[in-house]
Amino acid sequence: MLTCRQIYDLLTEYDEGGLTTSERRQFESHVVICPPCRGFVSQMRLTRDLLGDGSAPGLPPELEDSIVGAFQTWKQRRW
Amino acid sequence: MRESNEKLRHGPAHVPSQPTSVEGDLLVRLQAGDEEAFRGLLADLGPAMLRVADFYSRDSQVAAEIVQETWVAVLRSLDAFEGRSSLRTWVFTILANCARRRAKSEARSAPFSSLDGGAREESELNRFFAANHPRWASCWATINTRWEALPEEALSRAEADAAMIETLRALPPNHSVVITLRDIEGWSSQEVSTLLRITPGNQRVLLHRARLAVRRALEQTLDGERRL
Repeated sequence: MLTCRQIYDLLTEYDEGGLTTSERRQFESHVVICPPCRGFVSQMRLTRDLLGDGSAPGLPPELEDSIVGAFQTWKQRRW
Repeated sequence: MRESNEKLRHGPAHVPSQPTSVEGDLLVRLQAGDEEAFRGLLADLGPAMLRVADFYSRDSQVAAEIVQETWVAVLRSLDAFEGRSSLRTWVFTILANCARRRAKSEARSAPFSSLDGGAREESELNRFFAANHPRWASCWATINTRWEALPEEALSRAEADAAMIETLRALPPNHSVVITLRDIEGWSSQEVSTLLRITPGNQRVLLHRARLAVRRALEQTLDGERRL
């Protein structure tokens, strides 16, 4: 039987198919009977979903300006 | 803050990993010198490119230079690009080559970020009973509330985004690059491992640690809001 600590460590391995069939079975049979682990799993899933559906740090404005400037130069001269 | 207000994509990046007819149109516009098309491509790819450059260079100035050099190289070859791979794959391949060359010239044979997931103290270990506890060995010592959806009454979407962005910025670059490419940009595990030349196992470890950190930040923000 896996411990909660192992569930904490193995969740992404489980999600990504990194566990053997036997490990998967042990993982699932722990989570189904363990409310704190079910809570943890739901938190990690929502975190992943919010990241996929949200904002991310953009480019620093000066870098963006500099790259667009390179494009404008390229457009004029076609190097 | 300009960056935190910038809404980005939903799910996979706009620029796909395989060439499509939409991308064919984009390429024609780029080759014709359409600045709007270029700005769109830069907004799509730029942030993740900077995370990849950060992965290779400790110095944020050097990372910015790597991104700049990559775009110059992309523009130089744009007219000759025939679309045999996707634009995204092509741009990131140039970026990775450029970054590795810079890292090499800085006398490093590997990215500075260790690939073992970092040696930082895991701050959540105190949330478990000790491994030798007579009854609750390695069990959670806390109740974890289920998060079926963001409890918007306690934490607005904008607050959640701000907490996540702050965490992404503070993560070690090897964690940040993997979670950015996987969870924000929607790349596959295989694509990320190939680009960064790391094993799938390492990639999973880095992704896991990064997700833990973001989850923890959301939890702390949520707890902070609830205490108010």
